[in-house]
Amino acid sequence: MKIKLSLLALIFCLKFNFAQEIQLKIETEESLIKYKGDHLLHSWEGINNNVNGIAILNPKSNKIEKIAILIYVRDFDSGNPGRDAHSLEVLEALKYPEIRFYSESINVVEDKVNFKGTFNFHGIKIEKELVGNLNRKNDIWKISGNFKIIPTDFGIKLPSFLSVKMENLLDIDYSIVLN
Amino acid sequence: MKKKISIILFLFSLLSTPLCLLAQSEDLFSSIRQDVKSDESLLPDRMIFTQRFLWGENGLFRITGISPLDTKQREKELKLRRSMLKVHQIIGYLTLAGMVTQGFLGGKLYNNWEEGLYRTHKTVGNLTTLSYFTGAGLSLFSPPPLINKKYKGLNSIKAHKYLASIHFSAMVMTGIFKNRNKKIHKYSAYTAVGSFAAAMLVFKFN
Repeated sequence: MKIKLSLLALIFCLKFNFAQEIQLKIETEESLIKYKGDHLLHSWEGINNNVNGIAILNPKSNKIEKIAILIYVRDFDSGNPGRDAHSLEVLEALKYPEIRFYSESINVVEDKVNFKGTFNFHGIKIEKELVGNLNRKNDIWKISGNFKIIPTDFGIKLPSFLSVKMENLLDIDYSIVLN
Repeated sequence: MKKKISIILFLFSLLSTPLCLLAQSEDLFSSIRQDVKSDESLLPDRMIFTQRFLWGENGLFRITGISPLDTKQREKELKLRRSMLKVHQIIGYLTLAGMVTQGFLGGKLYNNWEEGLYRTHKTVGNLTTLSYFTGAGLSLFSPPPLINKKYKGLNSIKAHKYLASIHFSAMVMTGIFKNRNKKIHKYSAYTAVGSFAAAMLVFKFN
């Protein structure tokens, strides 16, 4: 019985490596991630046009089984060199150059897609559930949506101007094209 | 024997499953990284001449070995930069307060010269000049940022730098002409206060 169980578990594990799967890649040129920050005196936006990632599609179920998204903090552009440089200092870009999202729990219901995954940002991992809009045409999947993150949850010290700290909330908009 | 093997196999299978999952996510990220060119430069292409002199690739701190150019050291330098610019900001408020006080005292002196008032004006002037140049030094000699993108058009940091060159020249002129030409001294001081206040306010805008 134990041998059978262990063999089953081994097969279950190996299944991940040998299963037939299709890789979808994020179309970097058509994808973007944008953040909006607020301060008492003004608000600003930064765009990252270098969104990279891979999704694993199960050809039998025609469902995305996994998705891994990787962006670099250096690639955010707010149109203000001073602010961008300062952001890299606040985010400790040399120590934590990447922002990652990984999900293995993806559910599609009509034109909505629900991701349950892990953000790895500033060296801290946080589980988050995202709901996006799905627009699928043949092999092209376009997923867009928005969510909010709390910078201090990721151990980020809020920068201040005129002794007033920025708001502890970032609005994130994303638009990702998989092909 | 069979029992032992089956237990080992069972434990291995159980332990290896989450490891497989973790390895798979790491494999995906490694595969992404292979296709991506990330910027890993430690110094910006452009920096102020004072920063290049101290912190540039062949700067004084590099060739003397005080601050070797590597990731760990640059992390420390960026922390130092943040602290220096924070103090630069605080000193800026104090300097502005000193400048406004000077304007008030100076204006009174032009209308009604008094020995006591003149001494106060001189003392506050020296303190303001000291705090002004300390603040300027903290900005000019701070380690350079990680990036320094070039943009067309005006933005707050560009405006701050343009205004800095105006108030810096005006401050020097104010000092030079304090005992030579009162009119030039007065107008230089006004230019310094106006451009200094504007340099602080521009950060309100993008």
